[in-house]
Amino acid sequence: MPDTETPTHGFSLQAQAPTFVQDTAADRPVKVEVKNLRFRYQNGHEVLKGIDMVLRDKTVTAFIGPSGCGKSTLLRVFNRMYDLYPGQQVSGEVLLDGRNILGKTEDLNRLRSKIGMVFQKPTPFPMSIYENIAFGIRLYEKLSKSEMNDRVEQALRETALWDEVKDKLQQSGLGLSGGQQQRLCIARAVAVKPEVLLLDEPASALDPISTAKVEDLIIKLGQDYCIAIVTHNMQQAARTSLYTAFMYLGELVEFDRTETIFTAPKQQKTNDYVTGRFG
Amino acid sequence: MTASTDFAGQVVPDSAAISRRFRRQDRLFFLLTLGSATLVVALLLAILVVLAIEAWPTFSTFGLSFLWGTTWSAPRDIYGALPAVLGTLISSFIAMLIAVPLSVGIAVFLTELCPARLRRPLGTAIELLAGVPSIIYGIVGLFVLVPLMQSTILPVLMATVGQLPLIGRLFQAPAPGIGLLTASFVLSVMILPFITAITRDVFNTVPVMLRESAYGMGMTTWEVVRHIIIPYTRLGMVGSIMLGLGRALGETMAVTFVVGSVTRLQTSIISPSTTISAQIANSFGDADGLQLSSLIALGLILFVLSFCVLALAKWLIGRTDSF
Repeated sequence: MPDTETPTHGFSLQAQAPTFVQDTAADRPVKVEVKNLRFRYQNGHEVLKGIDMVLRDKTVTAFIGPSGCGKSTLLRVFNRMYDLYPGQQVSGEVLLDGRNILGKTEDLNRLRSKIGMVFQKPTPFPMSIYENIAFGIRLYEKLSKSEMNDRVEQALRETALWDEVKDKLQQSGLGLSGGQQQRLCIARAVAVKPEVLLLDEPASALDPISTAKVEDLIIKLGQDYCIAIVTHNMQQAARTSLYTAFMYLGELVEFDRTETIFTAPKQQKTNDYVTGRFG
Repeated sequence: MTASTDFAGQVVPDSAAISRRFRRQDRLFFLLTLGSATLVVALLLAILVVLAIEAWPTFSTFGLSFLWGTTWSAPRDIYGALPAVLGTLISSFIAMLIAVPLSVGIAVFLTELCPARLRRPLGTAIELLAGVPSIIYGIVGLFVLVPLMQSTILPVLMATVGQLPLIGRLFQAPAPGIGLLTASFVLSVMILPFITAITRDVFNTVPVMLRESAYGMGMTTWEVVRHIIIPYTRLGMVGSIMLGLGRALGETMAVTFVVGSVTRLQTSIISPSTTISAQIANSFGDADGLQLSSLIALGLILFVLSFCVLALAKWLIGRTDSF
């Protein structure tokens, strides 16, 4: 795929001040609404102490904060990953398009088909590159061979991976480089046409060039999906997100436009964190 | 060499002497541990050599045809290994057929589905099963399983599976209860804990993030196990199966109790039969000359068989992490 657009979010040594994602339109509609969310581990430790926030559709929202502040936990509430670990308790509401997904009767398989997730490290499934993507689609849709081929190609193109892998689709996904594996995981998540995409430090295990590619991808996907990204990298939050949530010790300290958070935060704590004074 | 002092007047230890001492100690320690390690290999080789020497009369008398000879007769002094070798292979195979699916099922339950509270007690119970002495399995097999086989299980099998074409023959014979199938049942219970424990351990090597990303795609537990966990751990699983097989091949005591010790080639798997180790255990007491040599030759066959299976198992388990 020819590189037609000039990136507006350069990854260069000179660019110390990040270029913020500019909002081209008015705020998008709310996709996910979090209301007084509390989360407790089985040992009784409360890691989320009443979070209220919104994720807007077709918008990237970054969660930043020091380790242990609960940002990853918050992300894992959105797709109910905590259900794998009995004893973890959650209260409050998470509304996806106005419907609470924390209910006992929620169909987790369906929910997770709508809310995709990408992890810190690439997690390709032990199957071919093609199957890595086709497998997820097949869970929810019955497609003919050619339709499936189209969908796989589309997902790989969307993640700018097509040109790199089109000649080795039948090879194992484990043979790709770390950066390619991570983009494959994003492609896999995108392929099932989710409504929300959760990215848990998606570039933390990648080299700078792969990181830049993944960031480009996040910005591009942000135009189509509601994306929540957890990151320790402030530059990354600044480059990729329109909104940023700063969390500290299980509380949401400040939630605003990314540009505001990084240039004119209202809370002293936020200011200290984004300027690198603690964290 | 006299001790020198540094600028503050402190005695500086003679570093050359110290490092000489360290080298000496390390050298000694190295030799000691090397000796222990070599001893194991030497023992292994010695066993192999002794077996080979003792088995030589048999192979020089019967040649390689000892391997497929079907007669084992002390009065005629003719010995063939096939009935015992087949008995060992078939009983181990049937035991695997029963134990492997059960073990994998238990391992899936323990790693994926089991409530956290039950996980440890259940896991421990399975491991304890592995610690039961094999004579106990023999006793229970002989006094509980054999009567049950004779009164209920075998008649039912003969009336159902025994009526099928082709495989029906395997289940048609006078059935006193003891026999190859009974031995296979006992064996399957004995190897179950081994396969379960190792399969569970290799399942636990699946990275948490990979499991979570599979569940995160909306897969059901069955799909995660079938398409992610089992493919990811397939080498280790085959390795654990091989370890179980290695044990089944060599198991003596429990099998000797229930197999029946009839050294004749049988057409049915429910007839009294024999295995390599049962054969050796039964006849060693009053064997001499060529018969003794033939028993040792049987042992050599078993040794090579289990050695290959174990080596394959180790190799496969070792490769689990490498992809």
